[in-house]
Amino acid sequence: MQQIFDFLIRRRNPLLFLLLILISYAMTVQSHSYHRSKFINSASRITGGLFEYQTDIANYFKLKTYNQRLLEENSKLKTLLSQFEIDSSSISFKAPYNYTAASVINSTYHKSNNYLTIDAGINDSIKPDMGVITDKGIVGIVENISDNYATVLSILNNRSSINAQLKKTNHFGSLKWNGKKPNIMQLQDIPRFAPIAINDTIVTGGRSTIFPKGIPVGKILNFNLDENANFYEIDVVLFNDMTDVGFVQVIKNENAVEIKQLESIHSNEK
Amino acid sequence: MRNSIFAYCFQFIILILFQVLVANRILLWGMITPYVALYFIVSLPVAIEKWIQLLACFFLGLCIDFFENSGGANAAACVVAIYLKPFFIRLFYQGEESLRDLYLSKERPLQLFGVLLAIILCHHIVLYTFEFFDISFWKIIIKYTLWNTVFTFIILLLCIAIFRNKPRYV
Repeated sequence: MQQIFDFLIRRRNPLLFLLLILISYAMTVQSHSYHRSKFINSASRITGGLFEYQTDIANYFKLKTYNQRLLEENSKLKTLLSQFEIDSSSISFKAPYNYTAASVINSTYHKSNNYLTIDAGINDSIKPDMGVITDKGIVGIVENISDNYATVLSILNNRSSINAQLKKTNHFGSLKWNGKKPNIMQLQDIPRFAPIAINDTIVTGGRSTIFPKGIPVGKILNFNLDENANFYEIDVVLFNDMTDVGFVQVIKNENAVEIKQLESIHSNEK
Repeated sequence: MRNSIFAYCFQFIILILFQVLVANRILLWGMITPYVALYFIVSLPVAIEKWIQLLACFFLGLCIDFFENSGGANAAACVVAIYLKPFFIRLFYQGEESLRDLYLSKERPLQLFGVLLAIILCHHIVLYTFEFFDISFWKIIIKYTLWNTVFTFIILLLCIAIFRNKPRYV
């Protein structure tokens, strides 16, 4: 027994080194598996608060651009409303999707697993698995939340997989990222008989409870068939500039719980 | 002694804040970030107990991980860097009787450059391997490591030239 203690004390530095490396390794593994990165994330009060102060200052210099984008979106929405001839002051039906505005206080796009931190959390009734978009396209999915902040799993993340489809037909596949360029993503599993062409628009598929159908994603840059020649592998240029995401909207699907309950009945039957 | 402990705690906090709020926002060519927090690892006196050094650097990395959503990548990299630091000092300052703290001297600048480059290189290899965590990204890992090493080396050399141009004793 004495010898073991002697050994431990004599070798305490290499042992401590190994222990710390093991802990970091475990945390890294955890952060790379979906919905497991609970402990180390920037949604906490301290990290979120600091980022918010900094963004307050940084945003001041981008006010002009953001204002311009808001104006453009406003006019686009007004045109849409006028097409349907609805008086915007009299809308009272319960919409299936609700939108909450938030601003991005931290974001990365140069790693293989990118995240954003936004300044909306439990107090703004944000929950995990809500979709996040901008006026131009999709951004990601809410992962961890605290009272006032939330981290968003960026679409530029190895773990991200978004249901997307061609705008002109209903052929759908999954949108993933190969970790190379922050403006190009890969659309997989589109069957070979789908009629596709360069510059075709890709939109969200609406086959999950996260994003509504038809939110713009990007357009086709190039495509080729996979090894077995059954499915296309398509490079998509994003409409959204992921390197400069200022303001976002978080989508709440009012029917998500109901849909998930229904679907869980089916999965239980299997 | 007590003053220097406060000084290092202060340095610890300032470097983390500077790293996450300023340095990490600098992304030259979409990939180069100066890793200023490594200055803490370089400037820790070798006279301090090794286990304290290991724990301090582990928490330094962990704090950056909190902000960066990077799991334990920074913590692992910082622990490896501080663990290997004495080996590199012995390797490059051969013939000197004992371990010494790093500072810029006119007589032997090349030795300092060697130790610095070795520490930064080790730190960055571990950091990017853990961050990408997929060996099929090895080309990007090497590219990021090399470019960032060069840039961080220049920044750290500037820091050392400004703050550590004469030997100090704890």
